[in-house]
Amino acid sequence: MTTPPDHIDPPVPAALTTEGLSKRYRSGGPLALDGVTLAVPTGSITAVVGPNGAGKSTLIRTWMGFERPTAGRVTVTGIDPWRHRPEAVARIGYVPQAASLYGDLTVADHLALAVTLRSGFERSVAVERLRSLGIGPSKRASELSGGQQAQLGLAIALATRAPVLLLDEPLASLDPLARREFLSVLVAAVRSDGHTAFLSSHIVTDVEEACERLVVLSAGRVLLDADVAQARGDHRIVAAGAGSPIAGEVATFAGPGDTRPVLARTADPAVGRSASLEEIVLGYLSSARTSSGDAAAWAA
Amino acid sequence: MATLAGALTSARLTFKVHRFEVLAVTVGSLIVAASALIVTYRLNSVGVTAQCLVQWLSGGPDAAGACKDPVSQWAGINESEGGKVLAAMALLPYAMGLFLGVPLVGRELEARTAATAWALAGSRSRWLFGRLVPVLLLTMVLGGLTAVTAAILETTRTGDGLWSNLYQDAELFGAPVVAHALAGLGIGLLVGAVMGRTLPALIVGAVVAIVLFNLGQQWHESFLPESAYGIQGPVSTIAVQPKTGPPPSGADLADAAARVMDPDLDYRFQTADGQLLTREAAIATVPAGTIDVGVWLVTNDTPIFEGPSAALTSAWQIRETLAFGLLGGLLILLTFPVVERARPT
Repeated sequence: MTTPPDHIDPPVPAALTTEGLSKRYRSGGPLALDGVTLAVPTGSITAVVGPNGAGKSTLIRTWMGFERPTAGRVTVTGIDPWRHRPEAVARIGYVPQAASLYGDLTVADHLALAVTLRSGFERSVAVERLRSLGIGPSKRASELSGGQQAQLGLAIALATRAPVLLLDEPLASLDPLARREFLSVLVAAVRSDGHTAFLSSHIVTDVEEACERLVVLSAGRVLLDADVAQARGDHRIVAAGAGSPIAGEVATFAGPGDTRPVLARTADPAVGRSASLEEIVLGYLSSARTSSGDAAAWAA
Repeated sequence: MATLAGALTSARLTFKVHRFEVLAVTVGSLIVAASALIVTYRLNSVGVTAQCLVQWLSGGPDAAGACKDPVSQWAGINESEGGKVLAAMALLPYAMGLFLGVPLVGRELEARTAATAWALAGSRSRWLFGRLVPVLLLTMVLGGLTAVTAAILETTRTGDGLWSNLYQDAELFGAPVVAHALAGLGIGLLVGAVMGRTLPALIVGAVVAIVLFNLGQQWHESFLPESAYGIQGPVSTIAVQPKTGPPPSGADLADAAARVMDPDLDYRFQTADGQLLTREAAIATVPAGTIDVGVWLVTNDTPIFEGPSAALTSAWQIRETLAFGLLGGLLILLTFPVVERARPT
């Protein structure tokens, strides 16, 4: 009989998984998701970034059981959300876009609604969070600012006490201050309660500090799925001359004169300078754009 | 207790979310019901007796004597006001069902609030049930109010079956009205859930309701006994010539006698002293040992009214109520799998 050595951490089970996930909305139409395979570790905060139409919302909606996969497998804490939606949804706190709130209902009404719909909803948790943010119970959702609407959505999701949080573009309509407040509440809640959070966003700089993992999605394909720190360590910006090839080149950016900054996949600290997360994301997105069929068609 | 509190909260929030439709339908129903009662009061205030109606029907306005003016006034109110209110009452149940049914799921999809609700509710069917019950109860209550007030108005408008027969408007009062409201609710709910947009769903739902209403009318007429076809107005309700005219003979007599005894047809018999008797009362006056009661009644009494009987009217109303009620229930049930498979945004 052998025992595992002490220094090896047991693998963290994945709270959210996809395996070869493809989604096509109509027969013969383009793939919104194309063979996506992901495993979101339990207790992590993961951001998925990508341009409009990349498939971010489709991915989250598939985990919610809102979309049926065309191919592949999807699980939420091991449960197939399409086949066993009630069980899967019971494990998810979902923050939809701000426009998904009932404009005519007050904040208190939203909490009352959540109590009637979700067993185990802890109203006091939501009340406490909203009170600390100065959001009154008698205000109608339509009277709240974009940031307050997002906070209301987050407070409801957190009060479900669900182990998984899915947030669909929660920062999209928020000003910088509201984005920062939202993320600080999210991070604090995840750290204290051990949630797993997965959020989609356009804004890399905002998620950089909050998230441990990053998924870059473009045209339904995963371009990068990595730990944020690891992604930073594995990529460098190298200044190269025109026409000279760079080892591990991911993408080339426009630069002044003959020099061109290149995002290269290398961990060698002697090469160039470290890349910011934004540069890494932009590099992967631009590489996907130049290699896409549309770009080739325009080139032709 | 907690379940009841949850149900009450759910009902309150449902009514709050759909308060415009709830308010519009409630106010509309109350106005129409009040109008029906006011018209009924005005008709009754004229003080037209059954005897006056019989005089008018059997001899026309000139033979009505002192009854001429009151019956004219009564008929005027009946046509101008009663007809309009009853027409509104014919449309109201479908309208209330559509107005309450369409937004229940349709607007949730249109406004994207379904994403919020369905992410909280593990079971969408449970969510829909919670939303549906208060709206269904409101539809039943308002439909019931319309049904009762329409029945009161219709009984008065038809002169208790003398002026025109109740069968003609059988689907416009009583239980069928509630069934129509249920059918309207079912149509609205399902079309709203399928289309996911309120205004287009209202238009499509209205078209479906109109088609259904016309089909119901055709079915209604096909249910009428052959001998009662063509009875539309007060004059044509006189089936057999009165005593003063030439008596029926031969095949006509046999036909008239058979119709007089047809249980699906309603007859009133005017005796020599002007009294009105029901068929049962008239049969009681037939001498013992009479072989053909129908022939005796036709030749010895004056039948003044022929139309579908109250029993036939009730039988039709039961059919109509069952058909539309079951249709509404079926459409509501069909909405559940549609909601289970719907995309929330």
